[in-house]
Amino acid sequence: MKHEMLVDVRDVEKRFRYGVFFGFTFKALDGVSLYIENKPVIYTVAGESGSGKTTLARVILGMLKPERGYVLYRGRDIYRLSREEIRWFRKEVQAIFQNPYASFNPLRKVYSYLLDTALNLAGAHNKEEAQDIVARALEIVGLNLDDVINKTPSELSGGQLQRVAIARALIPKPRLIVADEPVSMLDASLRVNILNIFKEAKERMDVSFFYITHDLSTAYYISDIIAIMYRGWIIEKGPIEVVMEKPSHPYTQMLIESVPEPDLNKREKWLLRIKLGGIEEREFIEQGCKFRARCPFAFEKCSKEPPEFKLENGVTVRCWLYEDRYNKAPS
Amino acid sequence: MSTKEEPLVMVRNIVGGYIVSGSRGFLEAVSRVTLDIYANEIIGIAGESGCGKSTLVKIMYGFIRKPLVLTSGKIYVKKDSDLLEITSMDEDERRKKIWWRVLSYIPQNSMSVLNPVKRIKDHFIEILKAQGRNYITNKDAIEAIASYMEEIGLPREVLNAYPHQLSGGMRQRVVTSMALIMRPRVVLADEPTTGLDVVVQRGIIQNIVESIRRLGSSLVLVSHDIGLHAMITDRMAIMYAGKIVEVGRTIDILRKPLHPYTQALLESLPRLGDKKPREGLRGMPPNLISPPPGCRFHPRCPFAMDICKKVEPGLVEVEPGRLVSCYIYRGEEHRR
Repeated sequence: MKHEMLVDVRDVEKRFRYGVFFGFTFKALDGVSLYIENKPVIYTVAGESGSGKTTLARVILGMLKPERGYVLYRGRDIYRLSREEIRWFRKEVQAIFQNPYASFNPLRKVYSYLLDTALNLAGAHNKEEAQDIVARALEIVGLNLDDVINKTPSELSGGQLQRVAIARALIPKPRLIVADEPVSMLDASLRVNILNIFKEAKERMDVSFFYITHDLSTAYYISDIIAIMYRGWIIEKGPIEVVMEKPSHPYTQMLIESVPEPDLNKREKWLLRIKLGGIEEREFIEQGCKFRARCPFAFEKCSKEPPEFKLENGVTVRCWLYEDRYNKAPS
Repeated sequence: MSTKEEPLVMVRNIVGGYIVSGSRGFLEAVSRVTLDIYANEIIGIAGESGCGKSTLVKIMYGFIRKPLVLTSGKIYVKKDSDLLEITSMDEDERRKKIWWRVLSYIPQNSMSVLNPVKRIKDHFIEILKAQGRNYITNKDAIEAIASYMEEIGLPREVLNAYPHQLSGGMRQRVVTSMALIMRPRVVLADEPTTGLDVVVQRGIIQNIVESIRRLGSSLVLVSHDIGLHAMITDRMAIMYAGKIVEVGRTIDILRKPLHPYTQALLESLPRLGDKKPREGLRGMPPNLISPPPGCRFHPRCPFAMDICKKVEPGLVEVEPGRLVSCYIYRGEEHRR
């Protein structure tokens, strides 16, 4: 069954050193497991800053080798690929980052990037074939040739350049695109246009997306599955509708409740007083559940690390409240 | 907040912007903006990047340093029974008469107001002394500050920290409490929680709202996040390309946006629990060095008429307290 997965992340641990004075290491990823099925899906990893979501994206892209655990892409360990397989992986898995201006050489015309990608990674045999491939990719992202030809990155708006970045990612006909906060630098009124391109690429080109974001509203809009991260753990994962509408983990509940939304009915609940913590980094080195210090439901058992509990609604949650699977979600 | 009431701050026909290097002209970031701020209200200024909202509050605060230039317009602020025209004051006078006690400012980037080589307590002492509390000793000052910190729920140990030792959220809380310590009549907050995690943001905004209500002050919240406006503001002003295009009660704007830009903006926002396909805006905002004639939104507006391309609509009251800058809401003579 394992070979049927597109991506299989098993028990991955990635450490970083932190603190000039203390020399602690902390686990940016602390035993993370997830899989993406081999069919077109949009899988969101959501979390706040420091949750490890960007580290996870980089591990999956083959950019950051974990200390423990492994990442299989279509059954192959991506950190043990042969030279031939590396080329295959680079074609199959593409990346889109937050700041499109950082992903392009500012002096080079963006169109030449696209042509080169078509020649090198999409198997175009000559310039004409490459131009065809580029034209099709531009059409999917809603750009005309006139918009990009003879333009350097600085001559395009953020939204346009992000579209070019997506076009470039689509040209090699990838199976998976890892998109790390791809819309957070764009204006709200333009974000949904980019998200719509992801949906369309999923439906028309069978591309799966690994969407990394801190923004739950956009996650809800496009994803099928979501994993919520908290300080290096996936604390809850499952179908997006279930997780967002009936969150199980107390942290997920707090997170969803805290999202400000253009909906006045939410105001009263949003204004219910929450307590802000003190110095935050301590939680990294504590034993037991990492959310314990902030959790309104914490009890004795939480001083031990909670395992994953599978619930009947398809959700997996790391919280002792669900040890007895007949326990109901706290309301 | 009724319109009969006399405003606390009157912004009148403000034009301001930035001198662009290489003599490429003047970027008019704020273009003839008029707005009233009333007592006891939380008013939001919303809009997307480059719409002029940050520039407008910088000018309102009177923090006008090059390349920012105030070209014309006036701002009046009520202080006790006086009406002060702050735009003609120099910075020293503003510092003495206005800043901290009448108007205070919370910037987006806390590091821009915190001195990295000073402890947090020294920042507070400096404010107190600058505000004529020279007679107090440092020890008394620290006691006063510590009890103030306790009151607003900041851990006392923060006082001895240097700014860089604190998390972004904690720094923002410090800056917020600095802005509130002199009990200002109006707090101008420019994206005060942008970039912070949503839970931290919620806590900080709750702190600000609570303090504002307790002091009976007013808050001007500048934010690109319509959701945040929906959570706390009483009224909103929507800006586009240097202009206010719509003003009204938040409840009215969210339920029935009038300006086509506001409509498109609200329509484009994904919401939790709603997978309905949405569309974003077409095109991009205009270049403000040479903005389009007429309504600045007309190149992107699905309802643009002939007149929109020629003559600026201007902000007109269409219902009590509801202003919009769009010909759709004018008499027939404008339609063709």
